[in-house]
Amino acid sequence: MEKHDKILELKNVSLHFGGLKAVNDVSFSMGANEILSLIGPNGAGKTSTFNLITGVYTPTSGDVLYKGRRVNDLKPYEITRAGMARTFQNIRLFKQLTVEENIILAMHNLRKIDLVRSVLSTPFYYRELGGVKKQAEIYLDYFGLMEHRNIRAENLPYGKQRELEICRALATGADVLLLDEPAAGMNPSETEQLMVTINRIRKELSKGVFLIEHDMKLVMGISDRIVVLDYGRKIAEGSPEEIRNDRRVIDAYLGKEVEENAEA
Amino acid sequence: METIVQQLLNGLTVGGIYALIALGYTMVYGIIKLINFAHGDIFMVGAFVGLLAVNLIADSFIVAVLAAVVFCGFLGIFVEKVAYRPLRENSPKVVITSALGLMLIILLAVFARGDVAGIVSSGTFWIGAVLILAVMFWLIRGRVSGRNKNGNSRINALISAIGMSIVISNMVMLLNGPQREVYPRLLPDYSFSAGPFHISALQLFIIAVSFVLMYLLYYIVHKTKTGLAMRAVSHNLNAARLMGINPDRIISFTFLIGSCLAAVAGVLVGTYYNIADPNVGMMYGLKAFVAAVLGGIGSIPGAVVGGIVLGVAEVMGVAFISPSFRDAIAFGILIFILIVKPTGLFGTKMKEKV
Repeated sequence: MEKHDKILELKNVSLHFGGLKAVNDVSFSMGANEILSLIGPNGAGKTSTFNLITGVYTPTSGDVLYKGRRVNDLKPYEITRAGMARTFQNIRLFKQLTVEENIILAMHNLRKIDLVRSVLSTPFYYRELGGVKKQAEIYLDYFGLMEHRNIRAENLPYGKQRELEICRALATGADVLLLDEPAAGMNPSETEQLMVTINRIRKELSKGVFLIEHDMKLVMGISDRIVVLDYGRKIAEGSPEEIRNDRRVIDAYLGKEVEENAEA
Repeated sequence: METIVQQLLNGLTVGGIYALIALGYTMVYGIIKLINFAHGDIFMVGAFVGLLAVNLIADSFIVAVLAAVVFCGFLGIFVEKVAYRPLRENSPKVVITSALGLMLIILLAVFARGDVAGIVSSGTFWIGAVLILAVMFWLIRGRVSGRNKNGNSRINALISAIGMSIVISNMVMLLNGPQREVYPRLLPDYSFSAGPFHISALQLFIIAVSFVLMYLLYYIVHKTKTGLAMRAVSHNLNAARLMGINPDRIISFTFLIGSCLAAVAGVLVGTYYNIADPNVGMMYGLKAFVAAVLGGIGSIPGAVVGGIVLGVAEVMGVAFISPSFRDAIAFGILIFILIVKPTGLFGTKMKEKV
């Protein structure tokens, strides 16, 4: 395991819904340029953890630190502005907007144009818009979405919609991407492609990637480290190799299957 | 034939005004799925503020419009902050705020029964009103940061909207008195003949202003950063806020734009009919609501088309059937459209999410 600076840290975080402890005293941290995976059986609290980090929920107790700053009480849009952007388990694109508009929208906070100058169509408006479109092209190109940029997001094939969602998260200017089951519903070759893309994002753009995933091949293939949750508790943390051989993980969740998968 | 063209022009004039008001309904509905019944009263306030500005400053259309737009813009934002935002956030303070709001309404009702002029000039009333408003504002400012999704609060917000409508129209009656006021003719009204037709310059002007404003709105919604954010929030509020968009700001902005359009409509109506009536808000509001539903509520082009269709239908009905059928036609259209095509002309099908 490489040494990283901690960009994201959870300290004894809990989330209770009435009597249900969705997340129970979980602590872990993530490096700035790391690919960290969060796995666990259904209902283990993975998406709840994401919701805690992105401000959809506020922790019942404990702290979420981003770049050393406590972000517990920030609203979702403030979290995104701070530098963490996410995708969703069920795709949440702006379906009626075009692919390009989805990306430009994500750049909302980076844009420096005000309404008055937009309405007056000053030269600055056109220059600014030109710059934004150019930047959007760079992001779209990264995912091979350039040719689709003028079609409505809902008309993209499923795999491309997932990629657009990641692309949109990237366009917010975030340093950490939280991907909630990015490979869900993808076929093996699309998943393969996704792995390459995630690795490129980490290497070329030096972003941190935090992902929830059920596809063990993907998780074991690209993660630097893995955190395992079960019933809201962290039961293990370590490199893919360590997780693969962790007795508790195998008992709680993976069973023998993972070993077969890993060998394959 | 001549009558038809003449009536068409009348219909376009009225329809343009309906469309301007309907746009406010439809935008707010598109974004927070709320029918803002206070919108008609904001329109009425626009007329009165314009009148006040003319009396105080200068006898000019521009002055009246500017004053109305600025005042109603703030009023729209205020209404959203006071009456709808606390409900959206579902905070415990909603109860307190609602109770205070109710108190205010009762207070106003009690006062309004008495001698209006005497009450308005009494210091106690003003101190009381300012205190209540200050406490409400303070409570809302210090609201807890509720993160609840905007789920079960829609009907509450609707009731709040009706309450706000009553409060605003009564406020105006309290300050101005319940009587109608004569509106000065702010624009020169000369008519010229083109062939067999008599064309009124004022009507042309109203139609032109309506369409320019509609184009401006189209431009804002489709070409600017804020407009893009508005469309995003209306498609999916929860995803939008995870894109770094502050939904509260976008919602405030929507109320601002809608109220400004209504304010212009208010001044135009005042100038056109030479009358400002504190009771007219509800009726114009309802008509514009019919227009929005006719076009498909939530759809901006729908509101424009709906407003114009409604205006023309009404005027034609008055001309060819009977003047007393005016309102019946508007609400007949509402009933008809709700039976035949409840989503309106431009509305999208509601998909049931499973």
